[in-house]
Amino acid sequence: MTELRATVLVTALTALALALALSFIRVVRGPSAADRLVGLDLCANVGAGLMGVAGIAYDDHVFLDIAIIIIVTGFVGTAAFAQLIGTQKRRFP
Amino acid sequence: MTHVATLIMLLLVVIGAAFMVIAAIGILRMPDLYTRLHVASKAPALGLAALALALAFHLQDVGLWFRAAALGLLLFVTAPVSTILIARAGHRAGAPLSHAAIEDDIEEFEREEARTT
Repeated sequence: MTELRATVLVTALTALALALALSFIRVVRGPSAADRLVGLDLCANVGAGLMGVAGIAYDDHVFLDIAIIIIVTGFVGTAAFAQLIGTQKRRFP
Repeated sequence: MTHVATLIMLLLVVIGAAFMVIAAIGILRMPDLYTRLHVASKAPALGLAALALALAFHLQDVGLWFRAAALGLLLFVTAPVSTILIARAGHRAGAPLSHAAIEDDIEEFEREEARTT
């Protein structure tokens, strides 16, 4: 049982790290600023999920608090950046 | 912790990680901003809710259940808000639709809003 648990947790952590890398590719490549913003939003969500799996792997409840903080600050940052993109005169790429 | 509880926790972890990976693949493969938003808002919210539930299920603590529920609630409230903010900002900044798109609802909505105000 412990082997199954370790295997699943390591696989999930690897998959989440891969997802983080893939969404960061969108941040680097994204043709418009809004595309980059979508990538950053997904990065925040995947990072919070990584914290959840890390909390299970390390048997520690602090990681759930970290996930909540990542979600809240990610939402505030996304809203601020969306305001910046939508209201300025110059169209940036 | 019994074996059944561990199995349910692992199942929740697998579901959450699978949704995250699906979202990350989708954000790379979708053709324009709006379909990318569609992928990047729903799947990660569901995946993260499953992962938080798995953590609360694993540690079996009352405060943790409440915190996991708070995270899920927060997620399901903030994800649509940030999605619509990015969509309107991107539309105003001139993000193009893909060739497969057949209508532009934000355009219509903004025209309606400009007429009424």
